[in-house]
Parts: sequence; C-alpha cells; structure tokens
Amino acid sequence: MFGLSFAFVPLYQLFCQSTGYGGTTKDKIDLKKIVDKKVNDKDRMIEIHFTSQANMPWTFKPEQKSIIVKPGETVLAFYRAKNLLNKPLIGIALYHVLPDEAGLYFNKIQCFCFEEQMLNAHEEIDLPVLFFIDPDILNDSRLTNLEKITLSYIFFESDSEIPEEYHHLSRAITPKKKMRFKLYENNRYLI
Amino acid sequence: MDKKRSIVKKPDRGSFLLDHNSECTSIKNKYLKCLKKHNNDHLSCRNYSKEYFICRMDKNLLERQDLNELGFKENELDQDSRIKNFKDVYSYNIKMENKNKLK
Repeated sequence: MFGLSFAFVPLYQLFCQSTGYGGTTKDKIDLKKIVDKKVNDKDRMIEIHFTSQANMPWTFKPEQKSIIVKPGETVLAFYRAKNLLNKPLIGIALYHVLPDEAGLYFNKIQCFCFEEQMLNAHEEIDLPVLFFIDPDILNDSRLTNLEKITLSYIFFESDSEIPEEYHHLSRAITPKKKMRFKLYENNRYLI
Repeated sequence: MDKKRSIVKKPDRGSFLLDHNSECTSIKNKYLKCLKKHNNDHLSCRNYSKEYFICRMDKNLLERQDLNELGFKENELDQDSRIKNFKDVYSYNIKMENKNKLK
C-alpha cells in the first residue's frame, strides 16, 4: 500500500519549486474563522495516529503515537530525525493521510515537508507539525464513523547539491540515474 | 490500475525553520510529557503548545505573530483530558451522540 503512494518520487519536484502551485496564489488560511466555525453540535473526537518511514540513513520517528483532537482545533505534533552518518545529508519529506477521503479535511498550517531539510553529521532535530482537521469533516457522509486518521511521513534523500561550505564532504549516496515519470503537465495528471 | 488519487496539499505556511540548537526542545519535552499524562488529549496541554510557539518566536525560529493566527483562542485554559473517563475515542463519540439525541 505504501509502495503505491510513494512510487512517484518525482512528485516532490512539483512541490519543491517556488511558492504558487500551478501558478495560483492562495490566500492564507484564516485560522480565526476555522476555530470559530460551528458545525452542528456534533461532539466528535478523532484520534490522529502518526507513522514514519525513512528511505535514507536517518532515523525518523514520531514523538507521540497519537493525539486526540476535535475538528477545528489547531494541533501541534512532533517528529524527530537523526542523521546517522558523519556527513551532512539533505532530505525531503512527503506525507500521506489515511483514509484517503480524510485527506481532504487534513490541513497543515506548517510542517517540515516538501522543502529540503539538511541535517549535519550525526545531528538530531525536532520536526514539528501544526495542523487542524476541517470541521466540515463532520458533515461528510462517507466519514460518519471515522474515529482514526493516520498521518504518515516518509523521508527521501534529495538530489540537491550540498551547499558550498560542505563541499569537502562527499555525498552519502551517489545519485543513481532515477527513472523519471512525467506525472503532470499543463495542469493535468498524465497517469 | 487504481485511478484514485490521494490528496496531497502543501502546508499553508511552508516549513518550520530547523531548531539546530535545540533551543525549544525542553518545552517540546514538557508538551510531550503532558500529552502522555492526559491520555493524548491535546487540549489539556494547550499552554505548552503556546509556550513552544512563543519560544520559537523569541529565538527567531518563527515569524512573530499573534497567537490567534496559530489558532489559539483567548483565555484558553488547560483542561483535564476529555477522554479521561472513556476507554477510547469510539466510546466517547457514542456517549456524546446519545447525549445529543436525548436533548
């Protein structure tokens, strides 16, 4: 199941580029509105589970197994990564939300994904995620019995050049010729 | 092949700066300890999350902003775990649903 979602590594390139995705500039989410949004008076709680995977020589783990939240509340969660090598390493994280339908309501305000993160040799670092579940999830008929949402992150090593200052240290993994799929072009998915 | 495409969205405000000097790690640890103590109900540990963001702002690891912009409400106090008297989220939801039906 994981393989299917993460098979398209080049996906990160789409998001790794500059700000606007597809050229659109979205207005910042107005959190005050979300927090005050009242959706029925459903008193439902959801348990968010955290999982992780690292396809590179980093240890990468969530720092809490789960957090219980109510839709509309902003939540802070942590992951932790450690570079096991004695040379700096750049990684990029992607995330996935299960069930898929819940992904629509899962909003990350700030995290550590999609942008490259460099860890120095043997460095260990906190990786926070700030998110909320859109209260509209309570009106989605497909998710009426939803009790659990799983957030999973996976780290890949980035192809990028290590900055000048670290040039004298060789790369951890020699970049191989990766198969590149053209996933997206002219605002359409090709696959 | 499965045509269902999962929705993957960019974070609204991008990436957190890395805390290379672990300046706010001690507050993070207090927050995590609090979560364990309160059955992982994040609302019980609101003050620690606030403290964490204030720490980040103080150490220039986060743009200075009103805590309202991060979803914190005025006069939010640490509550006891909402799920304390329940075995799990499922039992809590059932109880609340029945309670609302009786109203």
